[in-house]
Amino acid sequence: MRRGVVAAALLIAVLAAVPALTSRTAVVTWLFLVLLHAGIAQSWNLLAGFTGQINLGHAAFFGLGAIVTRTLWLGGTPVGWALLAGVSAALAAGLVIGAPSLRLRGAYFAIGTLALAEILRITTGNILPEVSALSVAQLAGYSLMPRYYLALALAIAVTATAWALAGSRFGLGLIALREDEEVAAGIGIPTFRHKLLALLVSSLFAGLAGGVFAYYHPSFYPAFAFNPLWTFDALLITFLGGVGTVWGPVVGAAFFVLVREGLALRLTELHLLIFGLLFVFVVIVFPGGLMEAASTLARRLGSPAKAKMPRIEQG
Amino acid sequence: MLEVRDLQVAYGDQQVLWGVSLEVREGEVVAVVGPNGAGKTTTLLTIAGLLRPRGGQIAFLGSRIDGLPPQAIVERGLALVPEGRRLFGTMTVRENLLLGGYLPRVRPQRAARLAEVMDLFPVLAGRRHQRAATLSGGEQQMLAIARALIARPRLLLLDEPSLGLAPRLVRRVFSLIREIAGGGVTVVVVEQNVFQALEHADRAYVMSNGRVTASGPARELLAQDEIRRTYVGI
Amino acid sequence: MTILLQNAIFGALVGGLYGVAAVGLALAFGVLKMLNVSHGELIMLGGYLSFWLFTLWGVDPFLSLALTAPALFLVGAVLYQGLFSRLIRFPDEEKLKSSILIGFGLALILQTLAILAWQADERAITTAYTGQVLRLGTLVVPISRLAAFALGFVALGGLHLFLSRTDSGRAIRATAEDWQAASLMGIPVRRTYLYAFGLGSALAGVSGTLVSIGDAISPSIGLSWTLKALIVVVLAGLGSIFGTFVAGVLLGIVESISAFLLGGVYREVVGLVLFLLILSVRPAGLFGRN
Repeated sequence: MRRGVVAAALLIAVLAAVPALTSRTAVVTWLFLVLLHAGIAQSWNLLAGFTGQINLGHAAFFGLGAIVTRTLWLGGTPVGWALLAGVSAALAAGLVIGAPSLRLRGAYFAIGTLALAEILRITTGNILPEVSALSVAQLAGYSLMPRYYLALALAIAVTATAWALAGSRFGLGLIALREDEEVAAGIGIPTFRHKLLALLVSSLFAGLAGGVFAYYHPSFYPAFAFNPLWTFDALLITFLGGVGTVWGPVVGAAFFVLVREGLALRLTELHLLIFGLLFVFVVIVFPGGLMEAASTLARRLGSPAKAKMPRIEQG
Repeated sequence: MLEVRDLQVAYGDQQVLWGVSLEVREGEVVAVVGPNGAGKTTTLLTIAGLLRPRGGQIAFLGSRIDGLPPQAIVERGLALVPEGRRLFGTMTVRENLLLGGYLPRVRPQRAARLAEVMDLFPVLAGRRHQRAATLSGGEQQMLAIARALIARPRLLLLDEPSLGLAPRLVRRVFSLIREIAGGGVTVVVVEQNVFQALEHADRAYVMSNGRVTASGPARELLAQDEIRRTYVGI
Repeated sequence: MTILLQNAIFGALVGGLYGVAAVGLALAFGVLKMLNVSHGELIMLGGYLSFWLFTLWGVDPFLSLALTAPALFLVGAVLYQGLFSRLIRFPDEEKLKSSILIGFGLALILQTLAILAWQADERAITTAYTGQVLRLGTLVVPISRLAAFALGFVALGGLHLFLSRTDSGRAIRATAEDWQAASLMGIPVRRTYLYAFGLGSALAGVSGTLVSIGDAISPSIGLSWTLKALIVVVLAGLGSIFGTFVAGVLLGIVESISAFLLGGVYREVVGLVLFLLILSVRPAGLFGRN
C-alpha cells in the first residue's frame, strides 16, 4: 500500500511539473482533458462502483455545475465563488433527484436520472439558446495554466476521495449494500442514507468538473453541458478502466483522450462509433475493464498483483 | 425406466446432493420422502433438466438425459409438476392446458387430450375460462397435474402435490395418483406427507441431507419403527 | 375552447404512436426482463427505411409497413443474438442493468451510423395526400395522421390476437410469466426470447414508419422516442396492450395541451416531468398489474 502512495505522489509531482517542463500547449491541453475526464468519470464511478447505482443522467450534475459557474463567472464573480456556487447547484440537484429515486429499484434510478438530464438540457436550450462566449478581453488574458492546475486539483481530490472511501467503513457499507441490499439492511446499514450520501459526493464532484469545464472552454452552447455524451464518456471511461476500482477511471481517461485526440477522429463522428462499439464490447466481454486485464496479465507474467492501489471490487 | 446414478448437485459453491441414486421401473409408483431440505426437490428439478448436475448420470428409457434442457426432456415423455404448481396464473385454465400440449408431437391430438383430461377432472371443465390464479388450492393442483398429463408423459414427477391442501383433498390427490398409475403412467412422488405417500406407493426412497438413507418396498419402510417414529410420528 | 380541442386531437393522434412505441418496448421488457434503451433508435431506423423506400422507389409509406416491420424484426433478432442474449444467464437485477448499459451504447452506435450514412439533416416524406384534412365543424383532423393512428391501433390489435389466440403467442406470454415452467411445457425459451425481442423491434419499425408519415425524422430523434416509450410504460404498467395505448394517447393529449398553455418549447419537458412525478408516487403505473 505504501508503494501505491509513493507512486501516486510521484505521479502528482510529475503532472504538476509538466507546464514548467514544456511549452507545447498541445501537451498541456491533452493532459488537461485527461484530468477533466478522469474527474468526471471518477465522480460517476463513486456512485456506480460502490453502490451499483447506474446514473444515466450524470450530465445533469456536470451541466448544472458548468452553467452556474459560467453564468456567475462571466457576470463578474470571482471564479472561486462561481465554482462553489456551481458545486452547490449540483449538490442540490443530487438531493432533489436522489431523495425520491433512490428508494426505487436500480433501473428506475437509471431512467429517472436520464429523464432529469434531458429535462435540464431541453430547458437550458430554451432559456439560454445563445452561445456562451468569452469576451475579447477575457480571451486576451486567457491562460491555460490555472485551468490545468484546477483540473489537476479536481482529479486529485476525487481520486483521493475514492481511495479514502475504499478503505473506510462507509465504503465497505456501500459495497455491502451493492452486493445485497436486503442483507445489508438486515445487519443494520442505513441503506438509503448511504446511497444518498454516495450520490451527493458523486454529484458534488460532477458539478466541480462541470465548473472546471466552464472555466476552461472559450465558447459553447449552454445546452451542450447537459449533452448525454458527457454521461456516456463517464460510463465508457469508467468501464474501460474498471468500474469500482480507484485507478480505473484515471487509466480509462488517459486511454480515452489519447485515442480521441491522437487519432484526430473528432472531425468525423467515427470516434463515437468506435467508442460505442468499445463500450458494448467491454460491458459484455470485459466487465473488469483495463485494470482487470492488467492485473490478469501481471498475474500471468508471474509477478504479484500490480494494481497500484487497493482495489475495491468489481462493479 | 429411469435410472439415477450417483447424482451430485450444487447451488454455486454449496453442494446439496451427495451421490443420490435411485431407480424407477415402468408402471410403478415410487415415493421419495424425507425432511425439509433433504434434497428431494433438487433431485426432481435435476431430473427434469432445470438444474445441471456436477456429477453422476441420469438415464431415461435407456438414454442419458443429464445435461439436456427441460424442453428436450419433456419431449421424451418425462413431465414434472413442480413444487408450488407453477401455473401461469394470469392465463386461463384452458390456456394452461393448451400450453401443456405445446409439444409438436402432442399438438395433433391436443383437442382430444383436452377433452379426456376434462373428463378426468370435471371441476376444471366448469372453470375453463377462469384465470388460474383465482382457483382454489385443490383446483390448482388438479390443473397442474392435468396440464402435465396432456402431453401423455410416460413418467410423471410430482413435487409435493399435497402441499397446502386440506386432508380431504390430500386423499383425493393420492387416489388420483393411483388412478393415473393405473392408466399406464409411471409416477414418482416427492412428499413430506410420509404416511400417505408410503401408503399409496409401491416402492420408496428416504432421503436426508442430500443422500438416500433408505429404500425398499413402501410397505416395509412404513413398518420400520425408525421411519414411523421420525417421520410419521406414530 | 376549440383551440384546446384541436390541440387535444393532435395530441391524441401523436399519442397513439407513443402507445405503439411503448408496447414494443414493453414486450421485450415483459418477456426478457431487459430494457432496450435503444428502442428509439430502432424507431428512427424504421422511419428512415420508409423514407428511402419512398424517395428511391416511390413506395407509399403506408405500404412500406409490410417491409419495415419484418426488416426491423430481423435487426432486432440480430441485436438479440449478438448482444442481449449473452445476458440471459445473469440474475435479474444485473441483467436489467447490463441491458440498460448495452442499450445506451447501442443507441450511440446506431445514431452515429445514421449520421454517417445519411447526414444529420431532417428528412420528411411528402406524398400527394400529405396536407389533406378532414373537417369536423371548426375542427381539423389531418388525414394521414389519422390513418397512421388507426393503423397503429390495428397493429396493436393484431398483436393482441397473436398473443391470445396462437400457440406462439401463448408461449411468449407463458415465458414472460415463468420461464422455467414454460420450459417444462417444452417451450424453447431462448427461441421465444428471440421472437419476443424481434417482435418488439418490429413494432419499433412500425412506429418509425407511422412517425415518418406525419413528422420529419433525423438521427437524433431516438432518445426522445425512447423516453416517450418509457414514460408510457411507466404510466401504464405492464398489464395490457390496450391500457398502454390509452396511456400513450393520454400522454399525447397532456403534452399538446401543456404546450399550448405554456409554450411549444416545453412540450418535451412536460412528459418528462410527469414521468418523474409518477416514478416518485406510483412506480407501478396507473393501469399496471405489476
